[in-house]
Amino acid sequence: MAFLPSRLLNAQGQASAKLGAGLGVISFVGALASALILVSEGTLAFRFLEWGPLSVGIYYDTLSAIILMLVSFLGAVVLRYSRQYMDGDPRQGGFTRWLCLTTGSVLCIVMSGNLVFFAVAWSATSLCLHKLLVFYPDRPGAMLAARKKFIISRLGDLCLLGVVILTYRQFHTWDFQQIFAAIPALSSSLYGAGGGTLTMLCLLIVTTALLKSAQFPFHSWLPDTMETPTPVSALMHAGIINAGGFLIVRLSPLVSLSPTALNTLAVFGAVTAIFASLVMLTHASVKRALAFSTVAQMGFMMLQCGLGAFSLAVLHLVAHSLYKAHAFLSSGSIVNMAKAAWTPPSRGSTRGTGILAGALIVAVGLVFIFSRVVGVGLVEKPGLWLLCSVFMMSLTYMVWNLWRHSMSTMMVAAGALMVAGVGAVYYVLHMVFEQLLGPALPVYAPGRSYVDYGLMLLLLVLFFGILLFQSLIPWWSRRTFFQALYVHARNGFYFNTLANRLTMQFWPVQTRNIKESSYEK
Amino acid sequence: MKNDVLLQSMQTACRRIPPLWPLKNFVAVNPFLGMADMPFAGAAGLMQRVGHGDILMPPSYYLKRLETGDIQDEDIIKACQQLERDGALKGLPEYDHRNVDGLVRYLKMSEGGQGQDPVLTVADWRDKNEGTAWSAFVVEEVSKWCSVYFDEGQSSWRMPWRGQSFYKAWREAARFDANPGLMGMGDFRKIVDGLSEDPMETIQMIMGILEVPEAGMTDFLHRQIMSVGGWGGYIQYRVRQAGMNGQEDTSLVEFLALRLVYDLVLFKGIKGKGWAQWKTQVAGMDAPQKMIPEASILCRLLAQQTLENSFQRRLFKGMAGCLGRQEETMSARKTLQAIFCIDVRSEIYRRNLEGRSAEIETIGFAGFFGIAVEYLPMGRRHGNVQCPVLLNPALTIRETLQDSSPGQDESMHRRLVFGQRIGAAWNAFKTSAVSCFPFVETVGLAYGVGLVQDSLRLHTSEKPGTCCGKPSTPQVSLVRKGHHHGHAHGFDTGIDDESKINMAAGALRNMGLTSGFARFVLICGHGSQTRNNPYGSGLDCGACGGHAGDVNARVAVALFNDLDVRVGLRKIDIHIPDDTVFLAGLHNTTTDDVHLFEDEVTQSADRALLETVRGWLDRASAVTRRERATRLGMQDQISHPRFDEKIRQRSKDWAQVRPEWGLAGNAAFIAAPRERTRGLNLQGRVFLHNYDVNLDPSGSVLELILCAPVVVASWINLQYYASTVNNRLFGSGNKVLHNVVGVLGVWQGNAGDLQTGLPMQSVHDGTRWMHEPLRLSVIIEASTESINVVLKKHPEVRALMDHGWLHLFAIKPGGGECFRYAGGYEWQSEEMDNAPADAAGVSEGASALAMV
Repeated sequence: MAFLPSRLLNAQGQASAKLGAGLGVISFVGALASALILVSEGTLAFRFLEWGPLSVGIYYDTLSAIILMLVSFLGAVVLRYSRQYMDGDPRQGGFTRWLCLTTGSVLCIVMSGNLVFFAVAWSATSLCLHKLLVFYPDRPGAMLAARKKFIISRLGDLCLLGVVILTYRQFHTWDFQQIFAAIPALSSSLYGAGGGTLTMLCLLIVTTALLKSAQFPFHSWLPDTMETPTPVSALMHAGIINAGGFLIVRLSPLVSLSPTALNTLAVFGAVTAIFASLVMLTHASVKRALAFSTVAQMGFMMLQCGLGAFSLAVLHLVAHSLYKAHAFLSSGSIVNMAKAAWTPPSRGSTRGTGILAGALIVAVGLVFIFSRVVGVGLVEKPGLWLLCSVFMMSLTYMVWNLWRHSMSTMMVAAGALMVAGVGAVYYVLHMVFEQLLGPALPVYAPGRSYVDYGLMLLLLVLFFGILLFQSLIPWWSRRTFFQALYVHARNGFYFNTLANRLTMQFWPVQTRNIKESSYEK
Repeated sequence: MKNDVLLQSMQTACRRIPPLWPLKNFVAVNPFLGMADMPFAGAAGLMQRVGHGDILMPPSYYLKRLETGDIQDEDIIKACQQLERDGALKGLPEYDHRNVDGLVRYLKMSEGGQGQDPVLTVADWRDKNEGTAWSAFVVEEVSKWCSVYFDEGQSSWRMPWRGQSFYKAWREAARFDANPGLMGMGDFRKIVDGLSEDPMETIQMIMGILEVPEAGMTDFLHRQIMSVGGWGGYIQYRVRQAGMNGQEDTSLVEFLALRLVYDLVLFKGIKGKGWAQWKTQVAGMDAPQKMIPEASILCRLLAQQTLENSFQRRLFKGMAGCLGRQEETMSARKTLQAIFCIDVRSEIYRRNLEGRSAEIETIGFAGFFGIAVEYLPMGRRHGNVQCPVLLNPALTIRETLQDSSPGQDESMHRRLVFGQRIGAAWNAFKTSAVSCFPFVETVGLAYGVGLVQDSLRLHTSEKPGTCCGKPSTPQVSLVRKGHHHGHAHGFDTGIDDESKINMAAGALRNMGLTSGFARFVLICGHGSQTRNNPYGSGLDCGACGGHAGDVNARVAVALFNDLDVRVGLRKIDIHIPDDTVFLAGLHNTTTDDVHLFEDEVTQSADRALLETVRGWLDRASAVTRRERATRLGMQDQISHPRFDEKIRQRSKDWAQVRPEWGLAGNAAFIAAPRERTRGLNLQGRVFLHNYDVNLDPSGSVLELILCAPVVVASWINLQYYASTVNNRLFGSGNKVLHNVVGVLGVWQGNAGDLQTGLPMQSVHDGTRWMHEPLRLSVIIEASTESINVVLKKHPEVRALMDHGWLHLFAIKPGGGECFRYAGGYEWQSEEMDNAPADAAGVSEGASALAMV
């Protein structure tokens, strides 16, 4: 993607879009080819140029290969989509250029073998994306959201700068390979006292990731970026927002040295996941609901990272990206889909909730028993246990939805089949990613304190509670606290309004009336 | 006394809001529906006041058209005369140079001219004075509330006040809502707490505080609704639907109350001398409305009228050769009679089909073919209303399996519902707050396959219509069935024998098809095939209520092929020959393929002849595709060997924002025998309705045409017109920012008002307008007297013609004379360029209709 014409003529919008789409395909083919090389050659790390600690090179392991394929694939899809979608826009050429540059920057993040290079690409991604977010500068909403994001991204850049500085102080190099090589020596000394710089460093890394991935309370820019053409949303939600997760996994050998940092990550991730998925439920517009879903999914991914389930987090990252890209690009189909959907004939009764509660407890209990049988104790891997419980509860919820209206033999059979199918797929995918990535990723098994267990139990109860709560929604509508909660959730608990006012204070958007679309000339 | 004025103003303001249909059956609506009782120029002024926008193109557009278009001085002279007759030209006192140069000069003079003073809400007013962004914020808040109140299934945590009235539910919710307060509307919650439960009282209270003078009330209230006009329109739709079912719905008044509350809060937030300034401002609304529109409106109206005159002149020039044409003697029986919708897209196909053979005759009729039904597909509990929105369906028709027993139907139904339930549970797994995480991990990767399929357009296509592409072959069931039959809960379906005959006879008479039946009579509905297009139903048949017309065609065919019906028809002197076979078809307007429902024909048909028919249709499809290619920007690919496949691929593209041009370009409506237009290339710009005055001695068919198809065509025409002249106000903006809300409408981007009308991409190709905004020219071959009779009977139709919302012409039956309706039952003879009647002249005249 190095070849990028600096000034594509907007006059040749279709031609440049074609070129962009071509570049997208080429980069995807490139990523596939390099993945093949990886299979035969193993992890690649080489430096083209070396200036002391500053080297220009790539670090290419299984993780890079997976993410590289993902991002270049999404880039190719989105560029191809835009070719037709943006047809006729007088600035299609410029649009394609920034789309290419943004995708290119993400690819650089993924491949970079050096933290400084990484940070530069990181910043460049955000700056290029900014150009896309303000593609319609006559829309005040677009400007406000882009500026909110700009401020948060620069905060993130500052944190990353801190990471760069502290890394040099700790390791005297910025090269990933050398850093990773130095870690085993450190880790022995770490669980004990000391390592203040290192904890600081890890906390900064975590903060950078949280800022990048729109985590609570810095999330409010993301749902507001619907003022940009759909393909940009698709790329952003599928290919860029997860850079925070990539940063954590890429530096996981480092980050896993600091349980404090990972616990922070887990807490923020869990809070975000729960908060955003509640808000998501109240939204009536497809794109905003998708945006809150992204925030929540990123939160869950962060929770997985925080629990040390790095390979699972990568699975989540990849799967979510593909899902979300498709969801955005096909968001216009919702009307057709709704035409064919089934609506429940009437309200059932609250009785179902009791059954659900019982079933959920049984599900969690099953996980517990299973883990005992397999021999993975609660004590050794509490994180895994939490994630499996969430999975089992979700399956229960699905089946409950299926069976509460009818328990005919067909329904029972279908439900059992669905559970078995989903369970099998989940298990297989989990294993595959563990096999692929496990060897390269650190095993995170810190000494757990009771606070940790308490925290995880609390999370479990929260997830449990939310599922129950959701099943109660139709029947609680008369309760005042519930009504108030609804209104507050509907407003995203006001974080957005506050963020908007703050942004307006620092960087006012001119309040002119929306002119006729730029489209009309 | 004052309350009476307020009540009346409120009713007038509410009446001015046009309804907006939800996306699942999006039909064209005349955005000036509530303003038909005022002249066009008056409505232009009104829209400047309350909509802060124009309903005419900017002067630059007219200047360009005057330069490049086929405009002659006579068009301008005529336009002046027309405006003079309306008394409007007085607004342009110095206007005397009645030629192109003169008009150009006046347009240039008025460029940047003052429009009428806008009526302001408190939010508008504060924005103007204080540089705030309150109007945008209020729109966002109101829109947010509407989106959750009316949501049809997007959110899974539904608003807790379902079942309560709009205003009451809002009041409950607003009591908790801290958002306006946080934005600086300090007293919001306190004021809401003190509000009356009765929306009327609230309106009275607020109007009292704001001190709007009586003369300005209507406009002020109209402006209040217009400030969130999209939702206002959607609510008007609900009010309208309730009214058609005999219920009363007061949501629009409640909506007005809600909107006013935001203004009240903003008003209370005015500081210092602001209150006094506001009072001076509203006092100004007391001034009487100017009777004569501004020059800036008038000179553009003159230019608009000129363009329309030019179009009419070219159209008549083309038709001149055909006017005297005698009807062909019906000696030779045709092989194929094909009945199409009046939709302008049919014109191209019909012309190309007729070009295949002299054995083919085509007929134009409203695309529901007189069969107003509700259609209940298998596995559903609610049907689609398949008729124009002006009507209420009398019957429900069920879908069944072909030649099946009730038991088989029932088991099929159960299977479908079973699948839907699995889908619903899966959806719960996908969207719930917790299970969405494991969902993504398990299923997410599969979407990669979806991305590849959709990008490369590999998936099997979704055919248009309700029936094609299902695994089994369903058919429509006319059989009368009671509610004891499983899925049609609580209502009867099917048609009883007597209604069958009446329905068939009515449909045939209205189509003017009571004798001379061909061997095959094709009844061909139309539908579009697009992907990922929220506006898909807008491309379907408007006469079928925004659905594909296959159902109506199939029901009609089932009726006409029914032996009992034929026997019954014979008794009332309609003789359908035994060897006449009716066929149902569906014209896919995106690909121009025609699907034939051959399987549903029960009687024995001449298979070889049917193959010939099939061949004609396919050939016509291919030719039509090539003709349309230019407008799709594919003219350089016509000779490509895979051209047809490319067009079909195009309709399956999920990124395609311009799958077809729909009815863009529509400009005229002709109700006359096909002889008047046969052989003319009308460029897909004309609605063609067959009408033979000889078959309609009582004038009832004429009445029907003027009251239904003409009105529907005018709705469509004015929708395209308005979306072109002012897309911000009447259109739905840029498609790439569309965000479907509540599964019923779209937002632009994050939020804002519900969008109405057509997207920019439906009328503009990026470099030029693909729709030329012309008011509809309706041409009817009937005597002026008989038309006057209908107009007298239907004042609401006459208002459209009297006030310049469309142009009406009458062609003297059988002769070449043409009259223009001049308002007030007056007709003026229209000079026609009766130049050469030879074929060359005809084609030359007609191709002049091509858009510049």
